[in-house]
Amino acid sequence: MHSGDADPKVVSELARSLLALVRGESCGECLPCWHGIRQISAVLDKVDNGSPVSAEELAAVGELARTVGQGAKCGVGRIGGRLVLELLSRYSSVFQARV
Amino acid sequence: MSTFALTIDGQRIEVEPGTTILDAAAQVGIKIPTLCYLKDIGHDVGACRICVVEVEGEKEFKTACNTPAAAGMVVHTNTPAVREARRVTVELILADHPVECPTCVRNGLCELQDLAATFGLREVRFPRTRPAYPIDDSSVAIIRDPNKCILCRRCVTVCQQVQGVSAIEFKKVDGEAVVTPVLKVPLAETNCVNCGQCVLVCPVGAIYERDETARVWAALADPQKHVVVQTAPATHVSIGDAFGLPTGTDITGKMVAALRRFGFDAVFDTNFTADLTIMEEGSELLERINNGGVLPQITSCSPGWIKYIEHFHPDLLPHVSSCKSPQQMLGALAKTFYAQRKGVDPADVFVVSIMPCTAKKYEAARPEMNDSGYRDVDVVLTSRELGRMIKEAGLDFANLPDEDYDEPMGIGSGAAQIFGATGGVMEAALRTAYELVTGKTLDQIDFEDVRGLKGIKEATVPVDGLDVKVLVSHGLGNAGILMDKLRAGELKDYHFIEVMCCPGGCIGGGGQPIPTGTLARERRIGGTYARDKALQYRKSHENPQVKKLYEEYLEKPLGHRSHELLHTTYVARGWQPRVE
Ligand code: SF4
Ligand code: SF4
Ligand code: SF4
Ligand code: FES
Repeated sequence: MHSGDADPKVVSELARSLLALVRGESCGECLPCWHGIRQISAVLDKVDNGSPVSAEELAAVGELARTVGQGAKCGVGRIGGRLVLELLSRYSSVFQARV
Repeated sequence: MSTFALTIDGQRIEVEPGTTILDAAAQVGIKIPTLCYLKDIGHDVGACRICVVEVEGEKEFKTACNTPAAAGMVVHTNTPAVREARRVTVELILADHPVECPTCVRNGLCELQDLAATFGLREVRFPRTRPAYPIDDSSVAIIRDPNKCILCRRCVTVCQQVQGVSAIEFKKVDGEAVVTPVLKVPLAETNCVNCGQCVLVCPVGAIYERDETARVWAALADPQKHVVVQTAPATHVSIGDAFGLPTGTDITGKMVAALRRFGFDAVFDTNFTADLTIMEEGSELLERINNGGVLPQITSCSPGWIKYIEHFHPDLLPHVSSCKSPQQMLGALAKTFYAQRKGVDPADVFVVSIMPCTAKKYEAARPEMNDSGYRDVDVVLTSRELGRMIKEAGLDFANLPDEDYDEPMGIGSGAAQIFGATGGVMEAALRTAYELVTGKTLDQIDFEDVRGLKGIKEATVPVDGLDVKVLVSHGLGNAGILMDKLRAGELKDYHFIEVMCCPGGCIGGGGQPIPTGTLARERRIGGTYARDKALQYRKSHENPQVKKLYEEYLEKPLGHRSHELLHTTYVARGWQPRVE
C-alpha cells in the first residue's frame, strides 16, 4: 500500500489505537516511554480528530519517537517508538501540518 | 581477572571486568550525563535514560550507567542521535514538572536544573500531562511534593534497601505512575522513621524537610523569650559544606559566632549532653551487667532508630537504654537547671536545636518529651535550615571569628564529638566505662575496630576481668540484621550494641547539607576524629561541666533527678498503616 492510497481516516485511526495500546502497557519505569508516548498520543489524537497540527508538533513527534524507540527500557516503548516512525514515513500525507 | 580494552569516542581504554560504560568513559575524561543513577546506594534501575550512548553493532541505545563495558566495544557518547534523545528526555521530564526554581527548596542544588543548564535547554515544547497532586505535609519532619517527583525511584531504593523501612513505593495509581507512601496513606501514617535519607538522595525538590526557620526568627525577635540554642556533634563538621568550605572542615567556632549574632541568649553544645549521656548510659550498662538486667543494652540516641524498633521489633524494646538522646537531655536541663541558675522563668525559655537530622523534629514532638514541665525542645532545625538562616542574615560565614560556647553547658569532650560518626557512641562509652570500672587510665583510647563505614562492626574489650563484647551498626538495614539475630538468641554474649539510623552515623544524617553521599561521609568522619584529637578533654567523665552538673544539681548518674529529666520510655507501635 502506498501512502497516497491510504484512507486517511483508517490510517489515523490505526495510529491512534496502536498508540493507545502502547500507552496502556507503558509502566512508568522509564521516563522517555512514560512521558513520550503520552505526548505522541496527544498529537496523533489531534490528527485523528481533525484539530490543527503544526509542522513543529509533527517534527517533535519524530524526535520523541526516535528517543523512545531507541532508548526506552523495554520493548513496549521501543516498539511503540518505531511504530510511530513507521507510520510517519509510510503515511506522510496523513501526518501533515494543517491549520 | 584480566583487564580488556574498548574504545570510547575514539579513545582506547583498558578496564577491569564489571566496569560500566559510564565509569570507563570517566576514565578517559568524558562525563556522560546521568540523572537517576546513584552509585552510593547501588541504584541503577535505568529509569531516566539520560545516559544513553551508541554502541557499534547494536541497533538501539545502551544506558551507560548499568551496561558493563565489553572487550572490543566501540562506544560513541556524543552523536546527534544521542544528544537529541537526552535533550528530548529532559524536555519531557520538565513538561510534567512544575518549574518553580526561584521558590524551590532545591534551587541551585537540583540535578534536573543542572541537567537543563548543561544541555542549554531553552524551551519546553510539550504540555503537562500529569494531574496536580496535593503536597503531603502530614509528617512533622518530611514533606513530599509529588508534583516535582521525576520518578527516578532513588528514594524507594534507599527506603527499602538501605533502611529496610519500605514506607514508600513506586506503583501505578489510577493509570498514573507515582511514588507514594504505601497503601496511599499520608506519610505520617506509615512506618516512616523520618530519617530523611530519601531527602538526601532525591535529585530534585520532591522530598524535603519541614522548614521551621520562621519560628526561630520569630522567637529571636520576641523580647519576652529567652532563646537558647544547642548544636549537635555532627553539625560541627558539616555546616561549612553550605558555604563552600572543604567537606569535613571543623566550623564549630564559626557556628557559635553566627548563632550569637542572630541574638541567641545562650549558645550551648549538644556535645555537653553527649558526655552526660555517656555517664548515664554507661552507668545503666554497668547496672544491667551487675544486676542481671536485659543484655545486650542498645543505644537510644538516634530517633530514627527508636521509631524503627518501635514499629518493627517492639518485642526487643527492653534492650534499649532508657536514656534520652543528648538533644532531649539538653532541652530538659535548659528549662530546669539552667533556667533556675539564670533566674529566668522556664516558661520563657525557648530551646532551639541545630541537628544533622530530620528525625529529631519528630523526637522533639513526642508527647513524653516534656519532663521539664514544658516542651523540652521547642524547634529543631536541620543543618540545611541553619545554612539558609546564615545566608539570609548575610553573614560571611567562612570569615567569622571562632567563638566559644556559653556556660554552663558549653564544654564537650572528644568522646562527645565522635557521637557524630558511626561507632563513636560505643568508643566514647568504652573510654569511660574502662576507666570508671578499673580505676586505671586507658592508654590506647582510639578504638579503631568500631570506626569506619563497614555496616556492622564488632570489638571485644577486656575490662577488669570481663571481656566486654560490643557491636556497632549504621543504616537501619544493618540494624534489622542485628535485631533478627538478637531475637534468635545469637547475641547472648554481647553487652552493648550501638545502632545509628543513618549510613555513616549522624554525619550522614538526613538533615545534612546536600550533597551527602559516601565521599562527604568519609570526609566528615575524618573531620570528626581530627576534632576529637584536638580537644582538651577526650573522655566524657573528664568533662568539668558535667562533673559540676552532678555536684550541683543531678547528684549522681541514674539518681532521682536524672531519672526524672534524662530518661524516657518507648511505645510499641507495631506495623503501620494497620491493614484491617
Ligand atoms: S526541583 Fe529543580 S527544576 Fe524543579 S522547581 Fe525545584 S529547582 Fe527547579
Ligand atoms: S524518611 Fe526514611 S523512612 Fe521515611 S520515607 Fe524517607 S527514607 Fe523512608
Ligand atoms: S521523590 Fe525524588 S527520589 Fe523519589 S522518585 Fe521522586 S524524584 Fe526520585
Ligand atoms: S542515569 Fe542511566 S538510566 Fe538514568
